[in-house]
Amino acid sequence: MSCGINHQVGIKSSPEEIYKALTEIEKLAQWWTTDTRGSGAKVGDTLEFWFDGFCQNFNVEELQPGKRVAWKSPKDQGADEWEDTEVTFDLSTDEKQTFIQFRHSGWRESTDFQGHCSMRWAVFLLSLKDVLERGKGRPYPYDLEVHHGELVGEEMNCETKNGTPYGSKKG
Amino acid sequence: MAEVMHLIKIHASPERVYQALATAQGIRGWWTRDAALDPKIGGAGEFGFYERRFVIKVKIDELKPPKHIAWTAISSGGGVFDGTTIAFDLRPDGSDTGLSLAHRGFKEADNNYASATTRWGFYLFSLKRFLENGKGCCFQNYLA
Repeated sequence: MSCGINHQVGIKSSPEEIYKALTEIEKLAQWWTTDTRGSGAKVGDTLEFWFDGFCQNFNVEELQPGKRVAWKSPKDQGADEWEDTEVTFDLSTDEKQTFIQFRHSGWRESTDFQGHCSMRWAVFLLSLKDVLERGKGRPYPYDLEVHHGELVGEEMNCETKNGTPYGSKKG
Repeated sequence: MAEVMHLIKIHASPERVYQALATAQGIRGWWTRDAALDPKIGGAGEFGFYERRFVIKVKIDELKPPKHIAWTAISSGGGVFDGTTIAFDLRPDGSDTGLSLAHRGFKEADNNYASATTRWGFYLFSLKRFLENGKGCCFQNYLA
C-alpha cells in the first residue's frame, strides 16, 4: 500500500471557492505554479503546469462542482514516474471548514522520488490553504524549497487564528 | 496497511539533524515544546499537543547515530497512531543531509492517515527551517 500519496487538509473556506481554486487557471496559478496554462474547466481539457522549462500536463478526467476534481497524467507529458498516475481532490465539509482529501495514486513503485513528491504536495496543499484563508499562497517559484539549502519562499505561517496550518481540529 | 513516506533535503550535517530528532531539546524546536524523551534504546518519549488533549507516547526501538532512529507509538489521542512505527533515516548528501521519514502500520488509508501525511510534511519543513535558519515552527507557535 505504499504506492500512493494521501493528504488531508482542512480549510476555512467553502467547497465552491476551493473548487474554483482547483479548476480555474488564474486560481491554480496562485497556489501551485505561477505559470499555469491550458484549461481545467471541463472534462477532457488539458492543464499545463510549468516549472521553468519543465511542463507537467494533466487531463481533466472528472468534475463534480463543489465535490470532486480528478486529473490524469498522460503519457510523455511530464515526469516519467507520474505517467498514468491520477490526482484527485475530494471535498467534504463540517461546521468549521472544508476538508480536501487528496490522493495521488497509480504509482508503479515506491521510490525516493515519491517521498519527495509527498513533501511537495504537502507544501502546495498548504499553499492552497493560505490562498483561501489569507489571500496569498506560495506557488512555484515562491514555494518552500524541498531540495535546496536556501529557502526562497515566503515565511511559513506560524501564527493563525484558525487553529493550525493544516486544519482547525479541536480548536 | 498504509504508510507515510517523505523525503527532504536539509542543509545541515547528519549529526545536527540527528540531534534535532533524538533529543527532547531538538524536538522542541520544530515539533512541540511539550516534549520529553529519554534518549536511549527502550526509552520513552512523550509529545503533547493542544495543551495535552492530544499526546503521543513512543518507545525508542533503535538509535544509530547519526543515521537511523526508530520509534513505536505506544499510545496517542484517539488511538490513531497506536502500534504504528516511525523511522527516520539520514544520509549525507554533499554538505546536506537527506532525511527520509517512514511512518508505517496505519491499518487503512483513512483520513487520520492522510492528515498525518500532511502534518508530517509541515513539521519536516519546520525541522528544515529550524536547522537552516533557526526558525522552526513548532506546534505552539501556531496558536494565536
